[in-house]
Amino acid sequence: MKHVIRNLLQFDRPYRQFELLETEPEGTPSFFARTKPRRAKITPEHGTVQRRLSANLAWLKARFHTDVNADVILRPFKLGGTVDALAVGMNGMADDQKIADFILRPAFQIDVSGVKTADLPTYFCENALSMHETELTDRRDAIVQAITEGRTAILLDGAKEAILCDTRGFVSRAVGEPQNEMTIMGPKEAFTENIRTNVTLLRRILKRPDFVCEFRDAGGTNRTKLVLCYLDGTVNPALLSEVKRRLDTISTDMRLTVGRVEQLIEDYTYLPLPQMLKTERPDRAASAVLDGRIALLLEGCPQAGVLPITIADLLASGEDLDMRQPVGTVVLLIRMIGAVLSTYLPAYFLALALHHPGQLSGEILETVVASRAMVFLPLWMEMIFLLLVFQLVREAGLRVPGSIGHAIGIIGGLLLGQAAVSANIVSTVVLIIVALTGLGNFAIPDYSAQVAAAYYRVLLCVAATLAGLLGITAAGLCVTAVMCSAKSFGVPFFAPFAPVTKHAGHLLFRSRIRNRASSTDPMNPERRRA
Amino acid sequence: MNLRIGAFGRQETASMVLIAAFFGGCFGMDSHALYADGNASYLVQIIATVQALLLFEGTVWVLRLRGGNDISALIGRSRIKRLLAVPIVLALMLAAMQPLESFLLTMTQYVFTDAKQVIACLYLLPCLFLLTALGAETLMRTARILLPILLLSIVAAVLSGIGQYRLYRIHPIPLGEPFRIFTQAGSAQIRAAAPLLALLCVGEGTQDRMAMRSGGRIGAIAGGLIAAAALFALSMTFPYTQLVDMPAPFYRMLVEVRAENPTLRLDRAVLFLWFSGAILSSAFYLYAASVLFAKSFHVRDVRPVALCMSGIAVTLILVLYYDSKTTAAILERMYRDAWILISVPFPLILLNPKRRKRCAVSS
Repeated sequence: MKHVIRNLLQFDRPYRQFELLETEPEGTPSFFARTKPRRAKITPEHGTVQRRLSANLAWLKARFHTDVNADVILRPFKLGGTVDALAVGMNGMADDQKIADFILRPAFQIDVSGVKTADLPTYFCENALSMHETELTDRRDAIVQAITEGRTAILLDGAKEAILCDTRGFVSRAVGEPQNEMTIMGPKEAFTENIRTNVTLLRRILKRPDFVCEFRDAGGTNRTKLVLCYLDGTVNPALLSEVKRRLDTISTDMRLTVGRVEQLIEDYTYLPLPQMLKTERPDRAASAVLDGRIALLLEGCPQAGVLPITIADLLASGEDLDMRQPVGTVVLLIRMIGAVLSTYLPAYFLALALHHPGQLSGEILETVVASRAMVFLPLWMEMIFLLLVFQLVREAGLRVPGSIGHAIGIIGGLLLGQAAVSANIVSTVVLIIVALTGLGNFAIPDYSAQVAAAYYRVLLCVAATLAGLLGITAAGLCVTAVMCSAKSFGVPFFAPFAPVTKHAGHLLFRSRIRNRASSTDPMNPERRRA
Repeated sequence: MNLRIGAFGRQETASMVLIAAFFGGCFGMDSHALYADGNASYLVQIIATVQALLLFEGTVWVLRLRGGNDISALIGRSRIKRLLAVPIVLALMLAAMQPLESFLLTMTQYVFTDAKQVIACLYLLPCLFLLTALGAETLMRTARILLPILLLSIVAAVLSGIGQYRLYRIHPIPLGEPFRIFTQAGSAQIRAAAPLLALLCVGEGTQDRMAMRSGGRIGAIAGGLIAAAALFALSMTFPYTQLVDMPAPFYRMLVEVRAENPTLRLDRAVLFLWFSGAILSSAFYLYAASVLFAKSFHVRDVRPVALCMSGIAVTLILVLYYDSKTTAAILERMYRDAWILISVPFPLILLNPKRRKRCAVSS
């Protein structure tokens, strides 16, 4: 009774009715729940290091919430047995052994008598710290950034500067083989999540002094490290400054990856095709850099983003140039035919079967009619259903671990297809068409381009269902025109084919390797290699 | 001004002019007049191309003297002179309608025999809207992409009919009446000169006047010759007495080939491939007309004008299709079927401010 009365009369609500959304700081959402995109507020750390160590300690404790945050290690010690000092590092990010061996041990052994307090940081750096990368700073934001990166900050009582030592020693994945860009010939190394390792992988290939790796913040509150890799003197300066300008506009709370950065700096939001090539192969990224492009590396992202790109890059594989010219041309042609089949074949079949049956020979028409005799779904619905099933099988195969993924592909492809035909859900002819489409789709090397092809495929299927070849013509022309109008960071998507530039090769035919020297033209590099 | 002209090179220019010249010559012709007294369509095509080139070269020469890159430089800025642009705009619109009308007739006669043309137009209109709104750069690049496929299909169509060619079918050649051939060529000017006229309207996008001249010249000559070759092949396939009343004879040639070789059932696919070329050339004309209109009458954005032009062109095609003789009948048809097409783009141009207020520039 008491409980009931209390429930009826109590002013506040019980905890179980607590709803997080009601505490939204921006108030009640509008009818369509749309708000203007919120810009992430980045509050820079103002101020400089205090002379008193206790004040710095208090600031660090408050800044890193050390009362609840056990990750931050605050290690007080006496420099030379006389001066109060503090080493601050992030547990797991900084290497304990390095701190003990190269900071604390020399700190205890050094003699600082007779050294002015103001000169202590410099003296300590020059005479005791046996580390290759140290830095003096008086800015608090630099100290905070360094600690979060895994470096160790040393603060000395009475000194106006802190010492930042490179003690980064976190665990990272070893360099492995590419998972999605497998090749038969060529190197087998892939990028990792460690940005330093990735830069090293590129530097091992590009052993030239004009190869620049420009480290900067990717923007946003998380201050993810980003590296712009380019060949100074080769890359178009206008392109470089434009990319930097766009990167400066990034302001987000999100964790940044190459794919997200691409979407934040691209021109055409609603274009299904990617405007930046994402590769996990250092050799491919290095080749792009040599062509006068820019490679983007992001901390925690095992891929490099290459920009600008053209449609030929989406249809190219890392080993194309390793093959002999005639064989390479055949492979390119097959890939192109696969891409066209993957995009147009289901729509063309639908158009012929639904609107222009006279274009099919009598034998084929009989086969189609016979195979569809017991199928209850209309042809267009059957096609869309099977295309959807194909995408389902593909997505399921991608998201599960290796061997199970292959098993899903086999189960989906063979058993499900056979069962669907036996159950009269789909016809064999449509199954063959979708299988051919799937094969063609896999011939496209780039995953983003494969997904874009699937998007266009469905669009064309709808158009073909509505108006047959007229629909395909109208939709196909629109798609081609939109692709022709698109540009990846100023480079037209169909370059060097439309607009035509001086180039070695073709969209369809691979050129001789001797002519590749002038292949940089679409990127309009500063130094053209004639 | 947002004219969306962009920049394009010689190959793109030549490709666009070639496609437009070929489809104008091969599909936009008036069969009744052309084959009335014999078979000289290929000669007419060549003469019309030469005439168009002479006009083009003359205009470019005048442009060089006046120091302009496009035809709007020749049209003065005064209100009276601006009216000079109106006949050019109308001519381009007419040129845009010709291949579309021809293809729509072909479609309703050979492909969708039960369908009304207005339904086909509904599919055509968004495509035209998009192409004209995307601008000259996109049109030229799309032409460059499509050209190899179109050329391949045309060459394949001409070669596939070799077995049916009979030289005696080109008889009689009305060479005895050269004046008549020149008259026919003159009347064919609207389709032979239209690609070059449209190029002159968007000449601002080329690298310079010489690039425009070179691209236009190459495209017109190549397009005219290919069209003449196709017409010659046509003349050897059908006697002129059949060609007088035959809609889309070039497609009929393909159908004849298919009848002999049932395994080659690609005639519809090829027809629609050609149709995409016709849409592209029509979009080019409409866009050029829109740019000229926008420049002459100071409309700051070309897109609403392009939308209006596309809507009007398609509406006029529909009106022509119904073959209405009287104004009342035309109005009735427009009210019944085409009001949707007209009512959409017109408010857009009305909403578009003619002049923007100048922003105060702070020092």
